Amino acid sequence: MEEGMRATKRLAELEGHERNLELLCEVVSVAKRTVNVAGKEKTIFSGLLTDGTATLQFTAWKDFNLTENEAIRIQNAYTTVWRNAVQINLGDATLVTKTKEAVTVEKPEYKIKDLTTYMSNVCVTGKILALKQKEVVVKGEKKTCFSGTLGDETGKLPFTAWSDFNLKEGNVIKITNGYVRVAKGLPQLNFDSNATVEKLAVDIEVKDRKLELKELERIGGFDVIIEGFVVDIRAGSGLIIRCPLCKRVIQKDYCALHGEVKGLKDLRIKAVIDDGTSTVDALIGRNLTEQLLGKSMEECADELAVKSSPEAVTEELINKLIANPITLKGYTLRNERGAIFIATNVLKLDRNIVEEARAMLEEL
Amino acid sequence: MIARECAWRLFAEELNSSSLQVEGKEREPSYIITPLGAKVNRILCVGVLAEKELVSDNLLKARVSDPTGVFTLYAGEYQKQALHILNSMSVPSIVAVIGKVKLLAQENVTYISLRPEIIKEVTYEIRDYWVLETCMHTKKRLELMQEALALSEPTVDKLLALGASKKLAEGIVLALGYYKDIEIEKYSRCIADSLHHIIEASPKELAEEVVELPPKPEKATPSENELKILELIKQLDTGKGASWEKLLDSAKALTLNRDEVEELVNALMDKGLVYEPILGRLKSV
Repeated sequence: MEEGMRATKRLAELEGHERNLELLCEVVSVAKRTVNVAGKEKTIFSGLLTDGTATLQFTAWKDFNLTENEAIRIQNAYTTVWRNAVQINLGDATLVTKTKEAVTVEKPEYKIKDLTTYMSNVCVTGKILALKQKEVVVKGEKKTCFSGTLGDETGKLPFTAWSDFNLKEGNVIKITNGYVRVAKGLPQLNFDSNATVEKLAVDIEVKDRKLELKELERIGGFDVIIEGFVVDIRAGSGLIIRCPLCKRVIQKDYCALHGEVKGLKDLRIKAVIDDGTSTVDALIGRNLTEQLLGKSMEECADELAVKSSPEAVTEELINKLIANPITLKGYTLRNERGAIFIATNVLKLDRNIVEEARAMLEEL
Repeated sequence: MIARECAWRLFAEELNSSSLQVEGKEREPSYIITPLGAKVNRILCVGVLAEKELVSDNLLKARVSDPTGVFTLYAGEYQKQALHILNSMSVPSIVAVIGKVKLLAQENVTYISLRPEIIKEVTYEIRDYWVLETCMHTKKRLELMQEALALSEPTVDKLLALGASKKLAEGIVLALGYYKDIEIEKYSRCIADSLHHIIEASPKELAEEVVELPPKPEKATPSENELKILELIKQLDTGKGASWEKLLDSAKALTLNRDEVEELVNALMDKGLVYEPILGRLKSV
């Protein structure tokens, strides 16, 4: 290679259309994946690279023998943009050499909102908002772990500590060398005996994170706030009857699986929320639905008996909610049919529109 | 599974300035491309239901105005529920509409129609909420369009990197290739006017204004000059209301200057004989 032709770039400088790129960085995480390229199975490797200025996703289109926490010099890579983020690609023409050179910049301390995908060697500070001791079986071995919620001013995240760090609710802790895994579409922080946990004698403010639906769709949400207009109330909202055995929705006390049963009443709303950036299906359970309706499920059932119109509750819900803004707190649940948002709270629309309009006008 | 089309927040001015429609491939729907690059199939708007008329037995036409212009709705037999609700609504009232937009061409003139899926009477607060939200979304599009105009070769990838959503990135590229003159200024003004609209129409200030108002004259009989202006407004109104500019022009023939016309129009408004369906347009009652 000709000397002086190309300078090593920093990750923070990358724009997504670089060619012949040279980088000095460290592998944060790497995972093997199988993808289908033009009908053929291909093994690729993807993960994160960091040089302290930024942490970016990469895809290696062949095996470069990458290992986590290793410093590497990359030559002749290229970048693309994928889902609004710059991605580094290591292709056939790319050269990767392991290096003893120091990746100069110190590793960044992450904020909770930045922990969104598989990562290792993570350093983060947060407050323990909830904590529970659990007995689990891992690879046939009984283990005690501590699961809970960690929060900072950018959001909240579930965590699991795989050894006993004598944690208590309310502790503010700094975790070094933790790792992030994704379960059911949601990132989770893990730390074990390889990690250091330092208890800090400070208090930090924990804030709920408010997400645009475009963001929620991309990264999911754990205990986040969303706001948008109700643009549809789906069929199956209102008063429903469930099989007492399998909890499936049934008609007229007859379950396809369990035959004649004494059905259980339930109340729920399946609403489509739209904030202009994207849409999400939200599930609002019995308690919150009662709160929105201003009456109990039993009262609804009594009214239905009088009106003898099975749709009366649904119509009332549509009338109350449709084409109105709503603010919900909750979390994303992903399954094979896509993602839904499970509401845990209905919040008051707490905004001063006139003040916001004034502020925006001043900015113009 | 096909993802549900998100409802864009845009002002009537931006929507009505659109004349490009792209037909969807395979199972995709068709989209209208606005001058600011919104790639729109569905919208959500909130405004004043200012007019409705039965075009035929099964087709109702309605106009919903926002601070910048008017959305034209057509509810037919495929929008039975919306048709039914629209029928029972009184004019004027504040409504929220969720619906699909379509570009129609008639004798070389294109116009946009909105087929309502959902129509619902809402409060003034929700109208202001929508206006603010639409200002924010319009500003975002405007800023991205300005950045795109500055690029030597705008591509979808570059716009994605600048933070545009996929649909907006595609829409901006299409808009740049089609619209010759993208009037950045006009849309900035739409945003500013709409923000003023929120601030001035806030209920608290309205209440204060009411207190300061002098007692209304007992008799609401218009003066001679007022009657002349009223007649002019009726003459100039071709459906959308008489434009303020044209009214000023025509008033010159009566040797009335701008200030005088303004005063006369205000007097007519106070007497409830004239109203402003949208900014800059006047209509007799």
